[in-house]
Amino acid sequence: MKSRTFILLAVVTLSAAILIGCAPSEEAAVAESHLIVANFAETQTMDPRAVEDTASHWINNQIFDGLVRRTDDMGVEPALATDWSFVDERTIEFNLRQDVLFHNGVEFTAEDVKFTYETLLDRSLGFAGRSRLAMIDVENIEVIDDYTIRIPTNQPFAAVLTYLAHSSSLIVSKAAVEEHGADFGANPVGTGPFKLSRWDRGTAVHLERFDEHWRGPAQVEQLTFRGIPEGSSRTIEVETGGVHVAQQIPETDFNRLRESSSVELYEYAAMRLHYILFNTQAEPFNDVRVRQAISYALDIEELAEVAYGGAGTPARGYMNSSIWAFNPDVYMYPRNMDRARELLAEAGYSDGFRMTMTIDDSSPRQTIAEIMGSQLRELGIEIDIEIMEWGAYLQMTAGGEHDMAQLAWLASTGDPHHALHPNYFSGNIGAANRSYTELPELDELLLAGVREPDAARREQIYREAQELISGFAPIIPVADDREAVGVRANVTGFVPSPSGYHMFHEVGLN
Amino acid sequence: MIRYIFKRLLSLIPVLLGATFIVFAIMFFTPGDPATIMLPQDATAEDIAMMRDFLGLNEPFLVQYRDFLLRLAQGDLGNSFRTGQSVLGLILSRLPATMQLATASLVIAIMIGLIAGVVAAVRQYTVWDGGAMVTALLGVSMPNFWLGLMLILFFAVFWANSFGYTLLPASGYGTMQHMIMPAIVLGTAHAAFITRITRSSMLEVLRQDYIRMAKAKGLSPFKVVFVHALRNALMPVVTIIGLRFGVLLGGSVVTERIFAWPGIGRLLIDAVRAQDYNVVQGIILTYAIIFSLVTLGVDLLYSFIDPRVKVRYR
Repeated sequence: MKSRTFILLAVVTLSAAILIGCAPSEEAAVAESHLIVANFAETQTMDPRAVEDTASHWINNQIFDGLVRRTDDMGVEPALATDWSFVDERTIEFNLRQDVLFHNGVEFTAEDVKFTYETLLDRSLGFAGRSRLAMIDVENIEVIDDYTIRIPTNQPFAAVLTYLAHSSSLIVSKAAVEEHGADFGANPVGTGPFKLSRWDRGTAVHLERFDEHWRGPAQVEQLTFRGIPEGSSRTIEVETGGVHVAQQIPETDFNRLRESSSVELYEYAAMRLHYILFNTQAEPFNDVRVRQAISYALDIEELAEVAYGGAGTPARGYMNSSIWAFNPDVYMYPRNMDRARELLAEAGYSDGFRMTMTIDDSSPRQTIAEIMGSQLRELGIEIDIEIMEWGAYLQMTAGGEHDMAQLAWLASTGDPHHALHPNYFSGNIGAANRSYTELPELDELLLAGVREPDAARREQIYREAQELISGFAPIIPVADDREAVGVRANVTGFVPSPSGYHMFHEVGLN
Repeated sequence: MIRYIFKRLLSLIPVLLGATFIVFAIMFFTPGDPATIMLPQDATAEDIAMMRDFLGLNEPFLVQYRDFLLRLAQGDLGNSFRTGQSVLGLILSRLPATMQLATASLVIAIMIGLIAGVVAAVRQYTVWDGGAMVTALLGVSMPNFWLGLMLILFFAVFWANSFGYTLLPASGYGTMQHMIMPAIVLGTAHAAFITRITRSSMLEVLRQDYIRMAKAKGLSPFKVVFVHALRNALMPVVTIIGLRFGVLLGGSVVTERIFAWPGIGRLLIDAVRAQDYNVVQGIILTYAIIFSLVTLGVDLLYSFIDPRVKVRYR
């Protein structure tokens, strides 16, 4: 009898569960002014000074403002600063917007700017975003009055505005940081168009409109970022209306969404370059002829197509092609096996050699390594593929223990200095310069480029720098990144940003 | 009995110490560096050294482990390297989701597994038996991610395309509907195990003399199977269920990822990848405690199923 009751109960419970489940889902019936966005990862913290991951930066960009901000074409326009002027070649003076309120009702002043940069750059606080603004001479930031501030750099730094527009430079409320201390990341207070309403850790960040925002209130009342790590799940959510906007649609779903009537696919060139790199200080790659021979021997089109498909276009230069000052004329290695053989013979490797390609566990990089193996076999070059866990891989390539490796570089400020200096300046060997490139003429150009205030002159310098890099062949560029956002048809005003941090102030729902 | 429980809880201490030491050593000696992973790729050697110092990673292994134990003794699991948040807070924020999903999938697994196992045993070598065993084999063999995507395609995509609304939300957390698909996915594999164990255990019991006696007395087949046979066949089944519950509480990375379920499995994998020592330690500690408690619970359950076992607890 007891067993019978148990089974009956069980059946009733299951039925109840299934019946409850049959009701239309909550997301399908969301309020009209509630925009739901699928982020590709969950947020780590909402303290902009402490993050280095794009998923968190994206959310922080809705909560905070910087002194300046990026335009959709990666220019710079006023945000919390109304205008600025160079006092001398190292110092920039900002006039700040008045009557701007933080979410806690406190007025924004120059003290908040000073406080933000001082804490960000304070070595003892260990903020991950510190290195992005390391050029600022933090000791000498000068508050002239509540709405005027002078920010000096250690050396003349022409790209300072683009760096100040980066998400690491967003301004936090001094009062709120002092109130919440280490918990500021869970209680963020900025001046942005949205303020935090609730953080369901691991699931979603719920923001609500900040009505006193200086640009006027946002279109939607509520904005939710859900962390959905699986790409195909994000596609399905935007297809079925579970979310309105889905970031980083996997390449395999592009076609499906292109044909969809309810979802529009926004494809855009992101500012990331995927590349293969040589250790230019290790044998045999310390001989430029060997590097050039391998550059000639590889079919970049095939590598890019097979490894990245629609998520990349074959690269044609030494930085991402969507960054200004990109020089498309310098790449001089179309596939030419005869030339490759000649160069190898000149270098004394006519019978080829054996080398190791070290990579992390990313699948496109494995594909590239395998194709390279077959393309280089004709030259007698044998490749051993060594796959490492990401942390160990970073450490190894920084230490110069590799023959060849693969990395990607995202110049998220959109400035050519950010695209070239970290990767090719000899002072950055062991940091981002993992090809161990050491070329005094190039160093000079890169330093000149960042000191030169005139944009046209800067462009000329960076174009020359790319020519030098091409001759030196420290890397083999493979693909420029392409990303795609899926947006429901009833969403209005969405404009994708090449930085990946699409803004929602102007975005509405029909 | 209480003394037994106390003794068991006491024996938890060396287990936890051992587990934390091994994990700490593995993390410490694994190549790679949390500071390198945290900082941007263009961070200089100086930046990295500073961050290592900030995180206290420059101390020798034993000093770091001692500090960890001292903090632990005060109930402090430390903060996450990546986010600065308290590890205990992080774990507590994920545990409810993991518990809910584990319980729901276990309920599904038990209901399917017990019924299918009993039917297969009672109707041995019939279509029922074959059907249950083939289904169990399928359940064990089906990869989680495949079943998960198939369910999403049917309940969310197909339904939305055909009827204009989704029968179940494709992913997320918060309501009963969100739980159904992940619970089915996780429950299926475990149901298959329970089916097989129940079947073999039941077969053994059904051959015993007292069952023949019960049948000879003229008891209804239902009573013979569910009252006399099943209870005695339950011992190995309960053991398996206990172990499965322990496994389920560990979270399932694949299922959690597909359904964007905020479970502890994903937190652990992310922490391991970022070499976030404190978070990894905290989660392993939680696993060890949960697993030990579940095993203890199973042991205690034996005495309710089989009163003879009680003697052992004195």
